[in-house]
Amino acid sequence: MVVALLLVIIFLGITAFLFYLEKRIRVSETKLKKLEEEKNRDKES
Amino acid sequence: MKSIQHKWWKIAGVIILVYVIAGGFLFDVPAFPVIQQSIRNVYFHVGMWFGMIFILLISLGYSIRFLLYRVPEDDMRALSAVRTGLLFGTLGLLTGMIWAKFTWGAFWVNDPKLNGAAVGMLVYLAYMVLRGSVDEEDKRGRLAAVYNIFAFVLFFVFIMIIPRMAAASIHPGTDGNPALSVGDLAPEMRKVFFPAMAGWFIMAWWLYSLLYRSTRIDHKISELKNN
Repeated sequence: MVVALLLVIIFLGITAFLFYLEKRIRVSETKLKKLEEEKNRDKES
Repeated sequence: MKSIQHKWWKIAGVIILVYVIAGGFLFDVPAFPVIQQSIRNVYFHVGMWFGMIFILLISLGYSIRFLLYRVPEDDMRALSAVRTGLLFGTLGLLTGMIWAKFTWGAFWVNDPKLNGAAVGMLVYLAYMVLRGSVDEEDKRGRLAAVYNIFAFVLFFVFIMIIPRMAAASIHPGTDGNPALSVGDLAPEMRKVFFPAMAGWFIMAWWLYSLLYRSTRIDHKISELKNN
């Protein structure tokens, strides 16, 4: 029972970290998209 | 709401694996001789190993696609899948070693299946070394894709064919797939084993997608710097 509970807590911690990582990746993707759009606009003008 | 729509399968995977951990440790299992309670490891060891094979198959598919269409994203997908596969393979080996210690008395025994698995992992580690040794992007992608096809075939030979040809392997599953052959798995264990397979597959896919997205970001940043 204690081992199962401990493993569940560790596993939930890992998944929380993965959700956090995903959020950071999404933010980076949005920033990169904006940068690319700006760069394309500069090239066109 | 939109965020939940994107996340639902990951949340489902987490719930499934929480059930697997809880059920895996708390539900009743049959009292097999020698293996005893360590049979519970089947939900983790086999699940991780199958998750690895699933993600390596994805990698193989993207390598073939890269050779056909030469889209750099396919190469990045293949690389991310191999990285995920290596992580799952390492976890599979570690859980297997713990299991071996309790049933066979040593972390590693000289068995064709175990040695085959270790060599198979080394074949995939060589894929990473090969990638690191080529600077030109397209050349690296083509070489890695060809090697990846070769690596999957070799891996299959090392873990499925050679152990079956060897006269004696103490690892289960020499006649079929471990835990999937008729009679391999007690019926009361199926309510945890099959969700475990689904849960580990979802986890492998999730990790792979995160790795792919971060690799693509790195690639785009270096592209922006160079242009």
